[in-house]
Amino acid sequence: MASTGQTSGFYALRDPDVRLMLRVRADEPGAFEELVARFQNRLLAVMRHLCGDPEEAEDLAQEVFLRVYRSRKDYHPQAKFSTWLFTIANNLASNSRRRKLRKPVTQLPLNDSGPLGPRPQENLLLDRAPAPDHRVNHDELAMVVQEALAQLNERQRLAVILNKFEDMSYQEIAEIMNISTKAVKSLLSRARSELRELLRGYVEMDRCPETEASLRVEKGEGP
Amino acid sequence: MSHNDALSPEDREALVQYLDGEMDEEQSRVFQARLASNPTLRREADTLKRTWELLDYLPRPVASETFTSRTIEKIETCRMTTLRRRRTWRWVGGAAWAAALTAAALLGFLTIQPPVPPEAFEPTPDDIRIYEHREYWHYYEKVDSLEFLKALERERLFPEET
Repeated sequence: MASTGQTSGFYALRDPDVRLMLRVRADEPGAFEELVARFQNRLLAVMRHLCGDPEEAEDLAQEVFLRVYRSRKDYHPQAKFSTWLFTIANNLASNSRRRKLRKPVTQLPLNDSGPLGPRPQENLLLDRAPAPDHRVNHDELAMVVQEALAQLNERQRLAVILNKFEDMSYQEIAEIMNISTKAVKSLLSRARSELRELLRGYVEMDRCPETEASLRVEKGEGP
Repeated sequence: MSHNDALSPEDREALVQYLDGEMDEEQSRVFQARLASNPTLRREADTLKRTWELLDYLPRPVASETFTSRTIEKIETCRMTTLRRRRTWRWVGGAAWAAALTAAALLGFLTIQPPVPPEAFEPTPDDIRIYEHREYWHYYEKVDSLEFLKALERERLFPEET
């Protein structure tokens, strides 16, 4: 099929990750290790935000790489490599979620730490609540944002993560989630509104200088 | 009534689309004009932008140093398991084929081969003679050897029929 060949060629020329995957397909020594090293942190981040549990996230990330390896001989670039990779990741995360639903585990509510009482960070938990009455440090804010993200539904969360951290377009997110671009637009709009409500107090507050500084350092912008 | 109530869901979607850089040049230009003339929309844009920036505080998990090697190891284990399973199945398949072929051959042989008729009993002249000497059958019962009786017969030790 000429068109498929042309598409493959197009992506192979434009996307270095596709070129790397083609080397993996050709069983070039060291290519797969390079691919894992290149994508492990990104994949781990997505899985971590999707499932919450670090160990499960790591297992799922490994499973994604295993799938990539197994299907390497059938790989024909039709899109950016990361789109393909995160489609596999999304499918695996969905399967894992379905499995968990079939075997439900009793979980404590987010703001319930059991008989020992709330953890210190949980005192910060958002209740679509008023602005904090004290300046929060970087770690506290990280916890609050993480909890806010966890309160979005799975689809909104994935769309947010892919858009924010993978810098993916609506088209790419639509391909990964197997929905229309219009649905992605709507998902992201609702997710942003939801986050705005959940983090309202923290958006409004003045950032403390230490937090600002630590964020700049984390982003590599220097002090 | 908060300022957000003044925005329709379509306005919010368009705003998010604008902030995400998903509008083409013409759409962007039109939307910027709306932003400039609508303080509610501007305020909402600012809040959404700042909310989005808060996501930068999210922890970025870093894979452990052994992640790559463990992943490769896992893949190698799976590869070996698959290889072993494939070999086992190949062996089982071969054995099954051999058994099936043997069974088919045997069945074919039994089907094609005509039944062997029982060999017809044809008494030798000696047998006939012994048969004829019914009065000596009780000797046969005692000696229990046809060969011996035949020897007696050869020696003409049986009395002539009276």
